[in-house]
Amino acid sequence: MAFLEGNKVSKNFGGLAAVFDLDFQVGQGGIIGLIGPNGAGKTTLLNLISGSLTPSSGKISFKGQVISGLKPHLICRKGIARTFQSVKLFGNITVFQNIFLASVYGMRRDLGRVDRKREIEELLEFSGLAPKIGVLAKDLTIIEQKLVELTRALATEPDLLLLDEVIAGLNPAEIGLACKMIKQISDRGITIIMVEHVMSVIMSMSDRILVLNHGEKIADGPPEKISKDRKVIETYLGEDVPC
Amino acid sequence: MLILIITLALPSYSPPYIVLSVTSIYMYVTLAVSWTIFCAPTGYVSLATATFFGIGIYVLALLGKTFPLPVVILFGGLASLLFGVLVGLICLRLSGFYFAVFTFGLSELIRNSVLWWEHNVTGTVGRWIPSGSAGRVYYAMLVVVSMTVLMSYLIGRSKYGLALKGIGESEEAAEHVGINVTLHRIGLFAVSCFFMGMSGTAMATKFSYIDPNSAFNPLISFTPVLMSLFGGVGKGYGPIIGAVILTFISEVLLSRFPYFYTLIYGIIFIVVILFMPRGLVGVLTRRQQA
Repeated sequence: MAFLEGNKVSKNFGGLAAVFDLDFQVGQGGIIGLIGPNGAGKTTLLNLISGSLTPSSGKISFKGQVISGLKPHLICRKGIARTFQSVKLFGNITVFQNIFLASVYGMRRDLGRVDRKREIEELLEFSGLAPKIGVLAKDLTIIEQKLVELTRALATEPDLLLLDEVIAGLNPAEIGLACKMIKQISDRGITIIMVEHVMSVIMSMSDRILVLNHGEKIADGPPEKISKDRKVIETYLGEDVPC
Repeated sequence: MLILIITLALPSYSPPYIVLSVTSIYMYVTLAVSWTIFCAPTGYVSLATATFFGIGIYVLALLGKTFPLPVVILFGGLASLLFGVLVGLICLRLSGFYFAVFTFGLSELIRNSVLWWEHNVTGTVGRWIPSGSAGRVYYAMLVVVSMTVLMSYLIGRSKYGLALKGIGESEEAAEHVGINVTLHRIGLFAVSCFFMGMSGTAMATKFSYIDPNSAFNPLISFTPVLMSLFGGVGKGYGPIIGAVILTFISEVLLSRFPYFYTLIYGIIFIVVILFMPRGLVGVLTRRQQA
């Protein structure tokens, strides 16, 4: 029984197959990088795992239970959290309330009022957002918003975290900050699947990389192997590997 | 405390006309607040208030002689609530604009169906219904409005209220943090229908005669929307202020200028929308900040 497993998963949009007959297995722990050219089906795959989309055929199971076809809120409560390519916060409520909602609705444990508050404050401390606790989410900078989204995902106490281009649009200093936090999350024992376009980041962070092209898996392995893979270089990396 | 005594004792010292005016203020506050309970956080505009209000009226017409008034009012609320769940299941998957059109179409469909039914099946259009004294209607409505305002306050402070705000901000994010979006929406819609139904039943005791056109009057769908926007939906007390002021104005206009009543009312409303897009509450809070 794999931690996360996909069995001949396909997703068609009209006549176009965004993901086609994809088999994948992910064990517990570590960071898995998901890369590929634009339109390769990376975000679609994250959407399928998190329940935003239902596979056209095939099935996805998580910790031995089939999850494809379940509503997103149920998948969340089974322990899968995510962030979005374009940040999706609850803008007109405070940072604390953003995290509070995730904690109250997404967490499987039942906490008392005081414990819940302490838990949220600890999380905000962890992500460095403690000073912004009472600020409306829409008034934050981009990096802060991304951190809120990440913290909100953590507040549901996931076993698997799906990150869709967290570092896109950040400056180098901010990228360093985000990467450090992702590493720390991984150290807490949370398995991470991250989609990212910045190769240096993917190569240094990932324990394993999955490469998609036209909805199919073209390579799968540790970063060193991927960066030398003929097929990956041709379709995605190009001859001058930028790392 | 003084206000409480004045409100409670009003029917004993005021002429019936005043009592009925205040009663209709209570009615519009109930409708505006229950409309806002659902529509402000979710961003959905429901134009089916008349339907749920009308269901309440018909419940009184059908059961008014059989049961005591408080029980009938409760039934009126429950009937609306059940119908609200049904409507919610069907159409809360529609996005905002389509939802507004659908609910309006629905309320017209109900009105015409009942009309058709009375024409062809029962053979008589309209009916006399058991009516009560002005004082009785007043107290019934006072209870309903208090319950509505209390409920709106409690929802606003609860985790459900916050979840609904979240859904309104980003539905996708909400479902991915574990919020059951459909359940919350339908539940809240049903709660707002419950109060609309109760106010329909309570008010109906004042009417003594009803037919489908008066019970399901489309104006009842629009007026609470106007009142809520006039008061401002950003704060819980906005719709209350809006309903009180606009009902008062319309009572005055109706008695002073019966022929220009709707015209003046319309002009007031246009001015409000143009110059106070966030309603009275918006103007007040801006003053505070400045």
